Amino acid sequence: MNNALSLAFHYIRAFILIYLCLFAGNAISSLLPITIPGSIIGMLILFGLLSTQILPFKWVKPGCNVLIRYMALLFVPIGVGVMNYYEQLRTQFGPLVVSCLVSTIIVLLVVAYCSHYIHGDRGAVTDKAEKKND
Amino acid sequence: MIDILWSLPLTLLVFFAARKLAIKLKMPLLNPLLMSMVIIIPLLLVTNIPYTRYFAGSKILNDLLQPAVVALAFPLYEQLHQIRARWKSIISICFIGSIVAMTTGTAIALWMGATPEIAASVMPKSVTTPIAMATAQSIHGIPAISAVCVIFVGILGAVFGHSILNVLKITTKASRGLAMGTASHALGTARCAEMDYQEGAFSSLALVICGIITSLLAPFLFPVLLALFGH
Repeated sequence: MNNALSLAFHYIRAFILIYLCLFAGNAISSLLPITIPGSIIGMLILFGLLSTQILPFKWVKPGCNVLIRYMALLFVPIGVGVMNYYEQLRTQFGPLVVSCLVSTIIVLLVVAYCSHYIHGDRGAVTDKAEKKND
Repeated sequence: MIDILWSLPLTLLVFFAARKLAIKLKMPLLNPLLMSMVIIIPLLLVTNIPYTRYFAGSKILNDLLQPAVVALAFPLYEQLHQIRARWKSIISICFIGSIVAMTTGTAIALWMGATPEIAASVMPKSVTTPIAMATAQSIHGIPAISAVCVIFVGILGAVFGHSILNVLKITTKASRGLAMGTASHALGTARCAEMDYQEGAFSSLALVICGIITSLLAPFLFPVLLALFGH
């Protein structure tokens, strides 16, 4: 029982912190002259808090992990919304599909090769490689 | 409000069933999001239930998209040492990737005779839905069409991305993650995170940086492309 309570507390604390960052991000976003979504600013805030060690990462870990693991699920409601745009999608079907398809493949190729060329065959940065790069 | 009673359980049931099946059969084409759309859309059409009612019932999931974007800070933080070591190259790669994604998508659409409105909706297709919809709005596209493109591109990456990268013999986790995140945003990232934690971290890095770059550059790049195609 105690365990379940503490688990619930950890999740609730994580979600409250995530939402606080989101609200702060939305507030800042509404003040900016250009459109940067509040969620992106909120993420930068949370990233800043974590990397400066102001916020212990354990406090947000449970909430973050669960949101990221099931992120694809969150797209289902909008995805089903395709059915509402049948007419527009039908008339512009060719350009839409071809442009998305070709462009995605080009991006994959360009980025993968760029990164491969720049980073070389090195795998993830180890402590040694990190020092070398510094 | 009563719609939540059928809509949410339906979404959850279909999604998790598809997910379980995809893991069991190890078939990437059984992407849970794709399967959910393929099952739920005909179901709504057959039963004549309007989409607005379905959406109202499952809105809570959609509302979680924003905190999910915030949550991406966590894998970023966990890869802080990776970022510190090579932030210049990562940002340059994302910059190139975002420009390529925006120009190729928009140019091909315009070249094939898409209206400026549709081309504007295609432009932010490689970034995550909330950013793409906001960006489309700012360049006079249709946010809903952008959402469709975003999902299409995301599914493409999630389903075929790793196969394409394998064919190209791209094996480093950094390159794979960055490519998937730049090309297929959150869905590519979700797929990467399933396969390998570090790949997922690089992918979310690309997702975030490309999202910011795209939302900043699209308003300037779009008029240039339109002018080039004589609109």
